[in-house]
Amino acid sequence: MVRFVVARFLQSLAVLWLVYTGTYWLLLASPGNPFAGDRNLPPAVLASLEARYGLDNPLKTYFTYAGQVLLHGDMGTSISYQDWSVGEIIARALPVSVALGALALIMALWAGVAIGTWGALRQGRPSDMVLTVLTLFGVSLPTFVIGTLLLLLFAVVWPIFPAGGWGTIRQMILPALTLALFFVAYISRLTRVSVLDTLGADYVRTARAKGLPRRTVIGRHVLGNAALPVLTYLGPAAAYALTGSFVVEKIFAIRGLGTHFVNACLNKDIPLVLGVVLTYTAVVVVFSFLVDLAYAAVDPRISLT
Amino acid sequence: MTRVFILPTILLALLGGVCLLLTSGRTPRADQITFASQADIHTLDPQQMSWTQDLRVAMALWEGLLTYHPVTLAPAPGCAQLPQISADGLTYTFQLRPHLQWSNGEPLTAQDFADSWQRALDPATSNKYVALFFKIAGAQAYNQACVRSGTGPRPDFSAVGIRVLDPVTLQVTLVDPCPYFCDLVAFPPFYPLHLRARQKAVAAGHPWTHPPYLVTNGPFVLKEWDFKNYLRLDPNPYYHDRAQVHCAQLRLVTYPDQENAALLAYQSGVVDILSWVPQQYIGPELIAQQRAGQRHDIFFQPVFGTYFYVFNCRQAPFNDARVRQAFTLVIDKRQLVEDVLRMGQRPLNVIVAPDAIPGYSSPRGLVRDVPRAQALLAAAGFPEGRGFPAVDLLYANEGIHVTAAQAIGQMWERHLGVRVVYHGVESKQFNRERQAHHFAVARGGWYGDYLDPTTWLDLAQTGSGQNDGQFSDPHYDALLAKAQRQTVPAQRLALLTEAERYLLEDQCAFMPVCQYSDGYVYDPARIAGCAPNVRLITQFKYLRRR
Repeated sequence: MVRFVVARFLQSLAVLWLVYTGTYWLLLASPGNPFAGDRNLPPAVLASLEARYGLDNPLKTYFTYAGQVLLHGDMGTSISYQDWSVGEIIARALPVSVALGALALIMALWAGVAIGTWGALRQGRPSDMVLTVLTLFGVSLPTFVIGTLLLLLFAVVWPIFPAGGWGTIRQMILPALTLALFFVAYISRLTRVSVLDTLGADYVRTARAKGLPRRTVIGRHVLGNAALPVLTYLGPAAAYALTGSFVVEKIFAIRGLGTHFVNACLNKDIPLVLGVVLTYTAVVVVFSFLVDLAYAAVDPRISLT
Repeated sequence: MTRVFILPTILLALLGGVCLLLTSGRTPRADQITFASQADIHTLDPQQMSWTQDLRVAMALWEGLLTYHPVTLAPAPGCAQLPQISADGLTYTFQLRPHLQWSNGEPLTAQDFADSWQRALDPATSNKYVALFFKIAGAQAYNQACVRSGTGPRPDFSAVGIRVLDPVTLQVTLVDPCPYFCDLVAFPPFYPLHLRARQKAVAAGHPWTHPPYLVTNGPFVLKEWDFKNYLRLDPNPYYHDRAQVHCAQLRLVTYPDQENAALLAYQSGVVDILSWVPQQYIGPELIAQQRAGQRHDIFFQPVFGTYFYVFNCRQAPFNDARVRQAFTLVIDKRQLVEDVLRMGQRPLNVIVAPDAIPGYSSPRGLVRDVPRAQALLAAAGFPEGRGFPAVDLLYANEGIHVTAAQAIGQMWERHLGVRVVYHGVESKQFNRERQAHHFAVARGGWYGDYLDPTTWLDLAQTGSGQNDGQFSDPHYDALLAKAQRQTVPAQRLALLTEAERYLLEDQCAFMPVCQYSDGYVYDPARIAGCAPNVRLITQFKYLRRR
């Protein structure tokens, strides 16, 4: 176990370093100047700005920035929002995305598993086909269509939820639902296939033959095993949902991390892009680690050595 | 039934709950005014700002030596009375109000202004408006000496024409007469900074522009700044004109690229004032409703900015004024405004915003004349566009600029027989390519900084940092120089009219399109003190609920 944790930690550092290197040099190679605005800056002003952000010596900055992050956890100052450190920006934006993503995942997990199981148990019947078509829609419809539709229906036509903003549970429902629908569809499809596979297994037949009630057979024996692919999927899904969706945050005017993904790139705000990308990578790494641990806990055939 | 999923659910619920608690804001007060901007605040350092929304907040938090009259926008007393100006127009003596105080109660003196202006001139400050300070004698030399000394000791500041005669008297000497200098000192980069408070915060590792470290001298003080969410401003108890500040609390929010969300927020009463009129999707409909008298909360008018195209005057064949004139003469601006821009903007044949600068009369400019354009192009050696190289039309791939560029290109193709290469790029890249002169014709636009035609006319001056079209003409430069030396205001403005006429009619360095329009959305039955003006300067001081 200890060996596994240490190995994974070292692997994670290597992943972070690779991502940092790739992002840093790609950003420098991309066209556009972060300080270029509608007005041309006097050369001395441009030079002082480039010196402030280390753009006058990119190779040196590559190492000093990495050292700064590793030793002090200091991710520098944003170029577009120069009064704010990248750390502060992420610290304010990430919790918003996490809260929204967590609610969306809870909705998606339970709704997805319920729909998937229900469909599997009624395989081939009209209700199963309707659900399959609906989930296909859920997977294929882009978030901006679902979000706009929900907003139109439940904030404008039938105004039972606020149109946007942040701070209350009511304000979270529509964006969380928008974010959740894709995951609901995906999880239900995963569950359906997985439950169908498991239903035919010998131990399930044995459990039925023992005369166990149907509820126990499904709940304990079928879903216990069918849950594995869903758990696997939960890792990357959580990393994606918790770090914010640009589209959902834009539609519902929410100030989460998702908007920074796109805006920081458009502004060529190098420190902010690096900070956001490193945060995202760290979250993905942590969640895939948690999934591995969960695997071992759920499936006795897997051991962490 | 599915125990496997209970643990992740509990973990997610805990995580989400804690995060929601951390991020949920406070409930706004009932008597506060919520003012929305369409872009986020970039900085609250007045000497580093250049964005409209930043400058607007600065005007609430600080006050310069002078300020703007709420209606006429003429320079009005601020921290100081209107200055005494010497007969040669070079020396300005500002008498400060007695007993001025900072928002922390400390006295504010003329020395604070001198020290702040010294910081503004230091290249390390990265002041984007540093050139405005070069009107002061010795300022440019000081700035250049600082550049030479790098991070070394600062050069002698005493050679700069800024003198503190006593704690309430500041004397400024200019290089040349500058009739709009009073307008400049009302502009945020000229505001005083509490440098001691700044240094103290920086030394302690605190962000000095954040509350409670930011010390200001204007009608309001910064109480809260929640990044990309809102700023809360309360009246400054130490402000000299505190009795005039009627708004109990100001909440400044932003809706970046979220016009629909902003409009919904306004209509549901979450926001009291939108500081812009949505122009993208719903804009034309709003304007139509306003014109039909169905809406009385939309205040939309021509503003102090113009939309034009820039010719690359050094690149053949656009180095020939006849070619530039031909390209300008075929543009149907009325059609552009009505069918493409669709917000009822005012079509223009000039680049200085007309009717905005008292005493200045605009020239006529080039009026659409297709046969003349075709004759000019033929005279330049390209009859019916034959032999004319493909025109590299540079624009930013955003919003209305794309369709405007396409419509303009089609007019050239149709009337002049030339081929146009549509070169739409992302906005940062657009700025970079335009500054590097990689275009034949590029989209341009300019908002005036001060109430004088030179805020536009200097764009075409030889050596100007904003001269992307590389226009250079000795006669034009001579006209500007002559106007600069002229001390009689009417004669000076007449010279500037002649300069603009020469620039646009004879030389045609720019192709004007229209005057920008913008304004506010608010209900005048609920909010007072928010009348829009041509420069869209918001004086938060006068804002109040009815």
